[in-house]
Amino acid sequence: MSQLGEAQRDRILALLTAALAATYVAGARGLEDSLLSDAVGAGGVPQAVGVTMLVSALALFGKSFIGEQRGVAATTRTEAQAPGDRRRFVVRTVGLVLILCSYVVLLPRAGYPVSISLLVLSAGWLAGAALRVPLLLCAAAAGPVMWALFGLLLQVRMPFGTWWG
Amino acid sequence: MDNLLSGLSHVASPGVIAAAFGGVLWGTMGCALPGIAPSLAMALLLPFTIGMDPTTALVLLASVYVGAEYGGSIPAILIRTPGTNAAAATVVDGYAMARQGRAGEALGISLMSGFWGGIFGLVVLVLCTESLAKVALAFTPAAYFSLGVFGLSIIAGLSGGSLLKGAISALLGLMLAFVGSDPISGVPRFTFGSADLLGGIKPILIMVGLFAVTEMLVQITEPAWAKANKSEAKLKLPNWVMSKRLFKPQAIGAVMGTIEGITPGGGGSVAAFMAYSEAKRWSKRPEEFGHGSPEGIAAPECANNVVTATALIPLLSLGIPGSNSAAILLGGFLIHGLQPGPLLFEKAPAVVYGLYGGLLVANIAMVLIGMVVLAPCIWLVNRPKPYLIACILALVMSGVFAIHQSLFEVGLVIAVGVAGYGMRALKLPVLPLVLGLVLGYLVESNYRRSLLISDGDPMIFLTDKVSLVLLVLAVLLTAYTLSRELFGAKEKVVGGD
Repeated sequence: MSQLGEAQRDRILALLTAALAATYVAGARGLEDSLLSDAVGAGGVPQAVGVTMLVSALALFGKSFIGEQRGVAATTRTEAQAPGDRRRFVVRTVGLVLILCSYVVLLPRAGYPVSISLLVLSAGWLAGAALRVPLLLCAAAAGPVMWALFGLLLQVRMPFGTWWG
Repeated sequence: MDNLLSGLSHVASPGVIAAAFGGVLWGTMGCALPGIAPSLAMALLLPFTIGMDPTTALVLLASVYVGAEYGGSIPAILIRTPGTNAAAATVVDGYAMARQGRAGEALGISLMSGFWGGIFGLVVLVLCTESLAKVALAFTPAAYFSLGVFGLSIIAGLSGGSLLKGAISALLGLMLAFVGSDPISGVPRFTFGSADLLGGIKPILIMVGLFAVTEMLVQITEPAWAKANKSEAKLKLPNWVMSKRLFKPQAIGAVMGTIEGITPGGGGSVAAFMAYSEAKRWSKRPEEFGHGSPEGIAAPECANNVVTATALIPLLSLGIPGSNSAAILLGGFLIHGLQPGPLLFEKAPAVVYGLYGGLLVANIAMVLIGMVVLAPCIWLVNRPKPYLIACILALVMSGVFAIHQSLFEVGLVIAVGVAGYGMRALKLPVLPLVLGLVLGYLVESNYRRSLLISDGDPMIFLTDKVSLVLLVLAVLLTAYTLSRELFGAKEKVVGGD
């Protein structure tokens, strides 16, 4: 993404926004009003917002071409990344999202202490820490310490996990 | 006056004192880590404030902001890496002084300038906010609608430098605000049949996702920051001669901080750079700037601490958060069922005046904590970054789950974090989105209420004088931003050629 020029970036944003706005307007038009509703209705304001967004997206799309013709894109283009850097960049970003999603899946099953320990272990390792004793100790301590913090100090009941009965 | 005195009585409350000291400590140490913005440090604490008394919770959050501004100057001076955006102007002369072996002196100037800035900002906050809120009390639904439009026009124009992108972001926020039951008829909207969305999307979840999860997704790909030297952990406060020399740049910082603080979208970093520039212009020794001038630290540090208080003026009086940190503080109000704005002074005066008292304690706490916290901050800065990222993520995920014990909300925060990452990649500012989300209800409900009052006649927005003034201001501001954008584009072409 960082290799894209400003004009290209704006075009992608405009297209994504236009698609979202069109879907949103369609959804707002489909809203049914109840007998309690006023003249504007439940979908009135959302439709207006959706249409304004569609117009803004089209304006941004048009502006990106004008900007490119004037040479704005060329002045704002960022430095290209080396292939190795780009790979590390993608692996770490996508990897972290997957770790966070796994945490959501694991939490009710493996329980809070185990899930938090695994989160600290995997996120720390992905961020560049060596898989050695300090990280393992930090991860092992994180679960019980956070469990105590939330359960004992803040009186918040965290799940213990269905796997442990 | 009675309310102010009762608020100041909170200064003696152990809960408020503990919250002020705790918040300042958290903000100072957290923002001593480069990349941890004040809004992130505040967002991390937000879920933990739910069970607290509202005054204590808000003092805690506001104190984080106060501590963060000093914390951000520590790595700026020691390792030439600003801990916060607002500390970027401090790097120039702060690091130059550190290289001359005067790091302790630079840190002392930063601390005391921040203290005077914080106190000055608090005085401006107390004097301005209530009078502005009293004017706003006379607002009709039409005026409230126009106030919402005015707030959106300011932020859409001022954040990110592109009116179109700001507008798109604000509209995205409005779209999110419309999720849930319709405020008039109760019809479910955009809930996709999910019971979790019937009550709408809680702003706190969007804020934590955008400010905390997105930041961690960015930080995990960034290189580690430099190590700080432990031997520099000796603070030296300015003596009388130095204090006299710093008075003028601090006064300049106070003026700039006030102007930028009350301007939504301005913020500490703009104030700091403007103060630095003006301090150099008015200095008797402008040639020292950039080579270790104490005035070059005093002006920006005073300015960014003035902003910690004056940024609350539009939030408390009109309900418009002018910065990321003010938006998080708004989240703190909403969690406790309080809506910032003119009615806040009628409904919960004790909370507002308690917040003033808490800010006073926080500024005193900043000096006391600042004198002892340097060594722990250097220790923290020297910890391996992967451990910090992992621990912050654990805290964010736990805090979000603790709000309602809802996995859906944890998933939503992750999704918002990923969306925020996409927004950053596409250079879409996030503050207008947050503002759209929090102003969405105000705008829609008052728009429809006004039309109900006027039997569907839209002229009500023009016949109401306050509404008309606000709408004209919104149009003028939008026109100004648009002209600035077009003028800026021409400048870029000239530069490009």
